[in-house]
Amino acid sequence: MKLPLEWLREHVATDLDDAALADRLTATGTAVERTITRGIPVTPGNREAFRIGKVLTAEQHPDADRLRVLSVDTGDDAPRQIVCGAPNVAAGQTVAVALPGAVMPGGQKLGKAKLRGVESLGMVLSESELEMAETSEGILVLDDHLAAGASVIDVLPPPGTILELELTPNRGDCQGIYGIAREVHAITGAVLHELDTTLPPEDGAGQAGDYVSLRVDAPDLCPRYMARVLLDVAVGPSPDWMVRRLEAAGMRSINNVVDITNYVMLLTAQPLHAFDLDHLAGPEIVVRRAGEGEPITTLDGQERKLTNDHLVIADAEKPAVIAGIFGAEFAEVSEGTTRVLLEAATFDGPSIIRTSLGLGLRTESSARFEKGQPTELPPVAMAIACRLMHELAGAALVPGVLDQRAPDHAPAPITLRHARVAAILGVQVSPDESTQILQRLGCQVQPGDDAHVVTVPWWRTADLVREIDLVEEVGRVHGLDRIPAELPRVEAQASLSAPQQVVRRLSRYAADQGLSEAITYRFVPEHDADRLNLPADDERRRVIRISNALSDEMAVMRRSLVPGLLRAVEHNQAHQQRDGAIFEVGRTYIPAADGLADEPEELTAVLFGAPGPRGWRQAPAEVDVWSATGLGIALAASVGVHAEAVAGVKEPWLHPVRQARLTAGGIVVGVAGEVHPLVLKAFDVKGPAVALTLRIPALVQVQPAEPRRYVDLISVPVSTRDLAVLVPETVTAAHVLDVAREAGGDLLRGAEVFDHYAGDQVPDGKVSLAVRLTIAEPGRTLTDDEIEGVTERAIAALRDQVGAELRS
Amino acid sequence: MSGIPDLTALADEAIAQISSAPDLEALEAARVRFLGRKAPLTELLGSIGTLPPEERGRVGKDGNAARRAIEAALDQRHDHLEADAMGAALEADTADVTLPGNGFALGALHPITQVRLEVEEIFLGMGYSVADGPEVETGFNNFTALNTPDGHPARSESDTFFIEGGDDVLLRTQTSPVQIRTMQAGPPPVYVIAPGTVYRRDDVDATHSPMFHQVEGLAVDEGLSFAHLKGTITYFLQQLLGDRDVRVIPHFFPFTEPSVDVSVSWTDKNGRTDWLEVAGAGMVDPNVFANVGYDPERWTGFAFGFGLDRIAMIRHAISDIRLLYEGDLRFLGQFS
Repeated sequence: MKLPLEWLREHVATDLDDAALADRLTATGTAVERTITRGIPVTPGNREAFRIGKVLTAEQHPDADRLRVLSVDTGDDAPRQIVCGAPNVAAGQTVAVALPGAVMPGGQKLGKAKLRGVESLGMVLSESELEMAETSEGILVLDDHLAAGASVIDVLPPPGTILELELTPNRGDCQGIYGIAREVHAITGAVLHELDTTLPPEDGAGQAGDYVSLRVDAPDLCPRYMARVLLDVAVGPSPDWMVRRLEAAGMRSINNVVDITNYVMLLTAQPLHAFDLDHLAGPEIVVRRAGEGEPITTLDGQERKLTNDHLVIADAEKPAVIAGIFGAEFAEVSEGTTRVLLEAATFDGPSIIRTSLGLGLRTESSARFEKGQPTELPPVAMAIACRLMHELAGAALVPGVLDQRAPDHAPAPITLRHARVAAILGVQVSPDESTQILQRLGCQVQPGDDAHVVTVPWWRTADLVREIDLVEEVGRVHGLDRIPAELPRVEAQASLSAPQQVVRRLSRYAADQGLSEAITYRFVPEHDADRLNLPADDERRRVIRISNALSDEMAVMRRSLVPGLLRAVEHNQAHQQRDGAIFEVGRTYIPAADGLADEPEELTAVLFGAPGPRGWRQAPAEVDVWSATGLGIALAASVGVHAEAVAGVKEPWLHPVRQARLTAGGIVVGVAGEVHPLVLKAFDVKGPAVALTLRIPALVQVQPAEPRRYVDLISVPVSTRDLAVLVPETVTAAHVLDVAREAGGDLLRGAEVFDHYAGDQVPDGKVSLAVRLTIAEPGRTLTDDEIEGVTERAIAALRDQVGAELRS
Repeated sequence: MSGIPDLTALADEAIAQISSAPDLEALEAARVRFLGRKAPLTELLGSIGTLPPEERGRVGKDGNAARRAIEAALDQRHDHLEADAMGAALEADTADVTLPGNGFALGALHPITQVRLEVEEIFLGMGYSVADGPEVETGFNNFTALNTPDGHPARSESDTFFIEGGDDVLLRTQTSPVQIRTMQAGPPPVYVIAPGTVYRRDDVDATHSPMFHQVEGLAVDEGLSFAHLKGTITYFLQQLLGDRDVRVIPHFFPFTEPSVDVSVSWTDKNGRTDWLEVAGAGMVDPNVFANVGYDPERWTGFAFGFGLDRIAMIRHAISDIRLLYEGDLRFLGQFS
């Protein structure tokens, strides 16, 4: 909201200067977003620097189509050369010129300029450069009788400061200048002048009811409807002072009658509507719900279809206004209007919001009604508007008021305990001070030793309802900056849950291994499931669907982090990143029986190309299935989980055989492998690319509960025996190791594969594995026989169970 | 006496020659000369038995002393010459040490994660726990219980994502419903923060994202006042953003009263200092306590919330929020 301070100061006599007033408003909750000076700022040099000029000649700029080079008489000895870009500039005009050194409304100082190589010794001004209009079509053309060289300051209205306010939604009362004036009174103590609500002479013939009838069919949506009739209205231009104020507040002048309704709305926050009484069928005013599909052609020329949820002000035949929002063309006041019906009403706030959202129409009027206006407000605005109609449009007010009002319920007084004020604010505000604050806010206060009994004024009954509302008022006017800052003594146990700790550890470990963490959108396209090659009956096609998604690309909540990361890979590859390692930790969303979702977290990593440090003597290898399994097992180990790769799974989005399940403690903790070429193609990703997914809840479940026990393999000898065995290629390394471990018994502390070979010198259908056995017992030195016994048992088992042959 | 050489002179001469031996070869020659089998000293010590008995003791003692002195000189010179030789060899073994060293992998946590972890550490240090709640949430928890009734514009289809087939089920628009869940889960005192992902129906542009991140904080206890809110948020922001001025000005939120906007002083790259809004906060509204069954007469508390994206963007001078969600390694790699 734009607040012209000149207008404000008419109603409240504060001696704070503009800047101090802005600071005080901000500090008490009426946030000043911006301070604008309108017109020529008052500075020592500006009287001289802003001059009336006569355009002597206007020539085309040699190098710019849109610029003209002017010769302007600004009262100096010689004419002044000025470059001007305005389309409307012409020789013979009287204009306003700012000379170098002039201080502009934004505070910047004008200098000499060169525009496309031509020197410009000043600037011909438009209204927008003086902040007197939002935009200007061209320069300001002044009266020809003004003399060249005279100061522009004497010609233009005096400068004014405008504060742009950001009002909070609870302060509907501040949507008018007078509301802010009340607020300034409350926060500064400055004298507030009462609004003059004396009516003009009621000298129109007859009674209002003789001219028009009123029926309110929907009192639930219209707590008050008030209308008066004015005759002999002379529609014409508004006086300058009113035009200036409207423009300063961001509105345009239309004609005196429309301007009066806007002016009074800006002042009081009560929107008004003026009808041409002669265009109302009946004449009758009916406040009713619209029929389903009932049309109205609004002032912007658009035909709109209404619904039964919309409230209209209709005549005997059709809607004349979408109540509180926008009027129809036919009943508007125009040049020929002589008889006016003036409406001041209150409408149900939520209904206004629904209608405004539904029709995509938000107006100055609807913005004020949204908050719900008090029913005491219409007569105040009506009186001021009628007087202005009399003074500015020569209108004769007809006696009698059409007025329908829902029964009033006076607000109950509120008890404000002094102890409660102290408990909430953390500071003692004396009962005298709180009395003073509340009285300045317009409350009636019955002071008491333990509590005040407070009756709030009619303009605050919507937001001051409870004790806590009054505590807030006392706090903000007293000054939140005066409340000390203290730290509470927290007697609570801080902790991170096991999943939180697992996620932290995994993320840090992944980053330390060279992976970069991404965050991708959690809403994804539904056809990700197809791109992932999921069969039609795959459970993962069950998704949480967004009913009002922004686009098909953001339509469902993800079931897997893989698609998001593949999209990130595609993005990187499209930007010349051929190699990379990227991961994300986050939730997936599974529809749950309670209508919400299970949201288990997973870590997914995607590695592509040949990631890793690359240097002048270092070249990383391209990724393959073992990049994924190795990373997965290391990540699991980083949270204390000993995972193993198990072959034989069939994730449809991974390579049919180059994939493994990662298991630990008998449960699946993840899956790793090369991404299926069809999936790569679907996501437009160039291979090689591998993916790894770890399920956080599963890792948490199998995390060892007990701290690890120390095993003494230091003070005893540890023997190793290396075996080279030929096994059928269908036998997995994991199986070979399992067989060896089982046969080796307790003395076999470890068995691992350290080489794998197939090809020359290995018969077809076989692979050669090198297996290292580690043999020891904590606290005891084994005999050679015992060591050889373990080795032999392992060899025998491998021979018998997997057909292994020992290579010599 | 005539057959016995002057042992002192002999030792001095030997030590002088040894010390000036220019290389290991010359040193070996000197060793042979002074301690070899044919060396006078060796011969003298070998012939002690032929000396008159009264001289044997003295000659033996002096001769051995001379030999030890010569041996020590030999060792010392040997070490010295060897060190010289090694030094020369090392000098010749040149390397351009400014060539890149062997690479070690270093990835990066996302800047939002980094800020979140810092925030969590600060609050863990103050005794707060880290709470969690679902993102697919009920309208009751996200709005109604937080004093935002049905019909409020925030609850419209244009502002909030709703779930198909759900009865007022939505993607939470704020982390505040975690307040409700936390309070419903148990009695006070409560000291929690809840970082998380939230959703609003904004089109994607440089300053808007339909998905972003917030941290909610909630403290409920006996005797908590606005002064504690002010102290907590000031301490937190100064820990996170450095020793800046912190300002609170009155504002409005449906679920706190009094409510404030929290700003920190911030100097931009042109040297201009201004207030930068970073958080919203307030005293928990008694209605919210009533909604979760806490006695508002006994318990008071405060809540605050702020955007992790915004803080990350301020901290790292990131001007386009879309960068946070593209997964571009050229961006992410800058935060290792």
